[in-house]
Amino acid sequence: VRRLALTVAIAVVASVVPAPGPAVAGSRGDTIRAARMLAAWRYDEARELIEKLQTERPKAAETRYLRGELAFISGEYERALELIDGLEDDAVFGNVGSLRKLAASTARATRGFESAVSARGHFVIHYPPGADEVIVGLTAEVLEKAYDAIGDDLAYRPSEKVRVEILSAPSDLAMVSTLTEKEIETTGTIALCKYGKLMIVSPRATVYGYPWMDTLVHEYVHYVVSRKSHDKVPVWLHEGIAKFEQSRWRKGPDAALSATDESLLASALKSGRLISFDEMHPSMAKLPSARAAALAFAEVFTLVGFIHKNAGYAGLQKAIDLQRSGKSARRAVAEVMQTRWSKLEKAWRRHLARSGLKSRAGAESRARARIHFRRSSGAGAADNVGVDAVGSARARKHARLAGLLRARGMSAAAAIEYEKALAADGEDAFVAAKLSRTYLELERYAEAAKLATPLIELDENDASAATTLGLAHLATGEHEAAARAFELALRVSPFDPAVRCGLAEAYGSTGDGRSKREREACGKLR
Amino acid sequence: VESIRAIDTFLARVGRRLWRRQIAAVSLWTAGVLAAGAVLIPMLAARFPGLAGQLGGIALLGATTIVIGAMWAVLAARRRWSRPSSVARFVGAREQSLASDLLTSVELAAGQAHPEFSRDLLVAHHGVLAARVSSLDPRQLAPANALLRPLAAAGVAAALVATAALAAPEALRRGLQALAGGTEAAFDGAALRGGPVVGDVEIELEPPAYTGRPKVILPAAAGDFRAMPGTVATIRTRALDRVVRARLVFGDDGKAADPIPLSIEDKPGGAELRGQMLVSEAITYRFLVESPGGARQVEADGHAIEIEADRAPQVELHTPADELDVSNRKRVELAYIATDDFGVTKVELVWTLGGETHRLPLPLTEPGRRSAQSKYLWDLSEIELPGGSQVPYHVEVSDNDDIGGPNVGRSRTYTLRVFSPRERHDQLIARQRELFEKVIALLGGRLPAAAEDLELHRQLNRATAQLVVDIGTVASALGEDKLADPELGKVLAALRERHDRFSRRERKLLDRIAARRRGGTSSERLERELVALDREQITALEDDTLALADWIDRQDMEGMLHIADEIKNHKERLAKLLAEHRRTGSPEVAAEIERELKALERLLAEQAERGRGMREDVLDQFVNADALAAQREVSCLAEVRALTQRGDAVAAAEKMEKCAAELDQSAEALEQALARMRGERFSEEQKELEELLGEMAGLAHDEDELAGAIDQIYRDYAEKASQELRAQLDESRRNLDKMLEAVRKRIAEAPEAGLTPFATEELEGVKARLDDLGEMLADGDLAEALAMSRQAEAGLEGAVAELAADVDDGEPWNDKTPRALAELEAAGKLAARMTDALRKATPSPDAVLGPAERRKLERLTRRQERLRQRASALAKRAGGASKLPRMMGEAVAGKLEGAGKKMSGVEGRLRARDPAGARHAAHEAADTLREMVRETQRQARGAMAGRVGHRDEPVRIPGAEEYRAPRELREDILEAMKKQGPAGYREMIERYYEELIK
Repeated sequence: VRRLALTVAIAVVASVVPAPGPAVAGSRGDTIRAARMLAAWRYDEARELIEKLQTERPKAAETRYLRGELAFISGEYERALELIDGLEDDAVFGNVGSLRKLAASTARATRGFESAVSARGHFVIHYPPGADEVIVGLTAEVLEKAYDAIGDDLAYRPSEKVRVEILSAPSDLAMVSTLTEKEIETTGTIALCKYGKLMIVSPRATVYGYPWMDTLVHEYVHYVVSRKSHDKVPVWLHEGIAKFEQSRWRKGPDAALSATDESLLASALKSGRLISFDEMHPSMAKLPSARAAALAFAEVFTLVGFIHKNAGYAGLQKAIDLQRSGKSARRAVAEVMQTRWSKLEKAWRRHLARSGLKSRAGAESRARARIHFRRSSGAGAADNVGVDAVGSARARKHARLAGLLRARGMSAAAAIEYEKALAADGEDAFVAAKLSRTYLELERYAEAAKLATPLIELDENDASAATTLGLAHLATGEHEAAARAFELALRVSPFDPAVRCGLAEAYGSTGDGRSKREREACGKLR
Repeated sequence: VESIRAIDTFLARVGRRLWRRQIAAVSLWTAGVLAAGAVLIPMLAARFPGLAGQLGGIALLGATTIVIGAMWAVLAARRRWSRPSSVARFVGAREQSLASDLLTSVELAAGQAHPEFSRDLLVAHHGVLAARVSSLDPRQLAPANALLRPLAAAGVAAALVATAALAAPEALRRGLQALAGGTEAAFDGAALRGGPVVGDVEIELEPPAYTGRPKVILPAAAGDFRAMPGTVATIRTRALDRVVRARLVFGDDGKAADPIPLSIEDKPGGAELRGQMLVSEAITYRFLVESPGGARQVEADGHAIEIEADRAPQVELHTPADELDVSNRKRVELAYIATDDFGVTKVELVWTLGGETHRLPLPLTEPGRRSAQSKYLWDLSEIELPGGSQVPYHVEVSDNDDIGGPNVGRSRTYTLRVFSPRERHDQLIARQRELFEKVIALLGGRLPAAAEDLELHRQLNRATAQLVVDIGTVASALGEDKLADPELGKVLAALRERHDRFSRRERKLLDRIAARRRGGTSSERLERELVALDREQITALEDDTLALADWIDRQDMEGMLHIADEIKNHKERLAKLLAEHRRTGSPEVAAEIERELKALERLLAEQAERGRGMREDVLDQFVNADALAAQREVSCLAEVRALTQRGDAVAAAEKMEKCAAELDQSAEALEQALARMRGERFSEEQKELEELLGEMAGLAHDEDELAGAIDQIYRDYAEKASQELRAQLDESRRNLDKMLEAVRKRIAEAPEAGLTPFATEELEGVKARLDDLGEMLADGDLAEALAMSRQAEAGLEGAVAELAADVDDGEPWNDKTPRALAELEAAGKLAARMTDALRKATPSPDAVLGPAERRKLERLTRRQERLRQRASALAKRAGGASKLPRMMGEAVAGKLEGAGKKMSGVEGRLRARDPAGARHAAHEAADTLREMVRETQRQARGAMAGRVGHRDEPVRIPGAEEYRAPRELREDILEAMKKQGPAGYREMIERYYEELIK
């Protein structure tokens, strides 16, 4: 938004200021062009123009500001501040003040960061020294995999090293962006792709972790789309492509919705409360709630899935290219799908209606509660999260009793009560998860694994169930299965010593070279 | 023989010389040491006269030791040098060639030679030796220069003695005298003179500054005077004869203190003597004069200086009772009256807790005044008194004596006995928790127990029997807890009875199975029975576990809500304080804010502690500790504190608003959670409560609507009245505007400093009403103007009553209060006249209301009547509600009856066709009903209702507010005070009146 304002402002200046001599007029044109290049993520071209401006009008406020902006985008925050030092905040239509504020807060948030380059050199990861070191290697590994997968899918591989910043807290994300802490907390925003870099809050900053690897790739997809399209793709399509592609680093194209997204979409379809594509502009993070944001993501995900199903990756690539060349997203997508937008939208809605989406009790609340910046307060709230959502009253009663017994170390009795609860409501995921963990405590590993496996199928981000499964397999010597389960948990909870140590043991037993990394992480976290 | 004699003679001569030399050395050393001691010891005695005795003893002991040592040395030398062998060795040591020969000769001469030893040879040896010794000179063998060192020492000592005698003969003399225990001659040897040596004495006394007393001159005095320590006394007199020197000497011998020299100034009629002294103790003094001839004379009779002591302050502490039973959250009203002869500087409340003494400074409006009095609300919640403790307390008052140090007076000691129904209740909840743990442990034991394991079943049976006993104990304690819900008692009684039955049945079954097994017969049927009974017990235990958990949760939540109520009170007070601080910036208010913040934080911590509840489950998800740590952010209140400390009152008040909103949200969430819990787990009670609350809310709503309808009629009435008045309005307006200005002026003239906080608050309201009145007059709305004028008048009455009471009780807020009272009384009278004028100017409703409006009023009267009847019916229903928490139904019924009375008032006003009065009364009735709904919700939280009120009302000193001395007595005293007393007695009279007024 800021950059757009700059472009407009400069254009206005250009139109109202009387035409000067040819040299100065040329500079003014370069200023406008440089600003536009920066706004369009065309950094190399912007750099050339700014260097030229530096030669011609080194002292002009616009030149100094553009140099500062470029330095900021290049991650040289202190340098950016130096370049605009002495300029008034309201210079260049207030853009200097905004840049100064952002550069200063970003410099503060990233001061003392260390950096590591990924194995193949495509990413530079900046991180705060300390606990977050245990996810730096994982970050690099995931992004390199994504580099290939997304590069193939969208036919774009960044030639420059992509800057990645791992932040310690959501408040840091507010410091390095224009989002407020409240917006971040309301919408559950945990990562951003902006200013030519990826920014992600460490899972360590959330109470129970979150699917950080997919989130990281999600932001990388934004990066690729912005670069490829010269940032012409609107937010809703951006998000759709990113969500569709975020798991490509680990599996093939998959248009299946998660249980929670399916529930959200089913409810919205039923009540006719889908979020319109216009409402998704300018950012999903500006939507009024985490639920609205989740619903919007689910919608655009299915739309992109629908395009992919009908036009393949070639269609997606073409849609992006068409937008880069100036076509609107709706026209571009309609052209790829060889139809009109209105027809396409109807076809997509029919597709959704025919998909047989189901709303599952409790699934939505689980979605809303996925990212916790704070732990709930109130009597007992921290312990029996979920027992109230158990559907059957009888099952709820036994589940509560089981929890009370288990909290007092009476696992055998607790297992009996959980079994009673499960007998009363055989489908309740909460009870199944609790019973599987109780079986684990009772060293009834096979039963624990049997109960945990369907939970992961239901929600692949259920780190607790994945950890239970991993531990159960590890105990029975099924190391490969244990490694698979722990890898699932790792995608959400990389700071759990049980996961990292379990993974180290499983990798060690299967001769996997990553066991060293996991052993080190285990040693640091234990 | 000759030779031997010659050798002996030689040795004797040398021996004698050596002995004499030794005597000389010892004598010189002894004399030197004794001389040095003779100087040093007296000097020390002069410097430290108090140690003279010890020093004398040391000196005597030292001298004796030295003399004995010297004598011993002399005798030892005598013995040594009288032995030829010793002398021979000495000579041999100096003359090496003779060494062995001389000693051998001495030994042989003594007959120590062997009998067979050759006599000739012996003779020859002696002969040779005699010849050799004859050439030796004893003076050279024992030269006198060996005495040089002792001689030097003696010389140094002699020099020391001489120096001391010359340089400090007086000190030496004093020291020797002190050592000798002797006394100087009285008055330094001056002759006592029976008659006076000086004329009249003029004494000027300058009392210490802290007393605030003026200088006093005692003319033509005999010289005796009385003064306070620290007083500077200047003495002037004339010598009767010619004098060259004069001084003041102290005590009966002139030695009680250092003499003070007097200045002498020749004047006609005799030399004037003048001197100054600082009074520190009671003593006598005399004039000692010296004539030009050197004769010294001293007065035979001394002049007495008496000491006037600074008395310790007196303090009287007033408390609600000598021994007070209080809860540890109470506030206790204390009042003190402290008096001192010169000034009170510090008042402290002192109490002892756990062997430790604690002090709390009490407010002192004007330090340094002779009397101080104040009231103080002692907030016991700030000092965390453990329940059951006894706390003796008193007040200590310090005066302003900066000469001898502050004198401290203390009041009688009173005692607080701390009891806490809440603590007792909490203890009982803790016992319920213990009981719960036993129940769940039993369930945990029974669930996996195998049916055939008889021994395990016996253990479980014993545990059940024990549980029955424990339930009985808790149930019995519940009966004594006034805050406990009796319903819980019933639940426990049922639980006890059920498990008692189970226990007996199981024991019998187990006995029978055991007997069968012992007898070798089949116990299969009995074992099946045991399994069935076990299942029954498990089901019962499951239900009981959850029932107990629910009750504990509920009590925890109720406790949290009651804390939330306390939080609300503190929050409101804090908001007021912040506003006041914003206005005044007063450090006292800042201190009060800090106290309130602390109280709030303590309550929040307490609430959080309760909120933790009991462990309900195990958290299986991994929790990132860093994310939890990040949540321990600076609390909202801490930010308020920081802003207040920074002096940013505006930001602090704004932040507090945010904090208050957060606290309200949290309280609301708790309220909802409790209602939800009741709905889910205590449904019958909740149903009845909800019905009652619904009815009450409906009634409040209908009353509100009725008030709205009356508003409408009133507006019509006001409009018509204004229209009718418009013609004569200009005249009325001018007059009324003048009256309004006069009232405002009077209020403005009341000095703000003279207003008590309550009066200030009241006046704020009055001013706002007067502003409204001005606006109403401008709008021509006389009806509303009348209502505003009435309110302003009532407000002024309140403020006047407050100030009058304040002045009457003899301890006005300050000296400007009487004037403020006078101004407000005048303003009140003007306001009354203004109301009257408005009333007269306002046409009667009958004259204004048309037939349609009158009919409307009649309809509204009937509607109000029906609402009142509904309230009455609801009151009866609430009184008989069986499932509501204890006493709640009756309380609700009582309040509904109160609301009914207000509704009757509305009816009365409607019948009198007074829409303005009816409108206010109807709104008041609706407000009462709404507040009642809220109050009932609060009460419904549990049986701890009333705690907030209990906490809020401090324990007051009985009768302190009510007592007023009879008017006649007060007038008599005031009259008497106006009369002038004799000079010099005024201060005493003033004190007398102070006491009398008290």
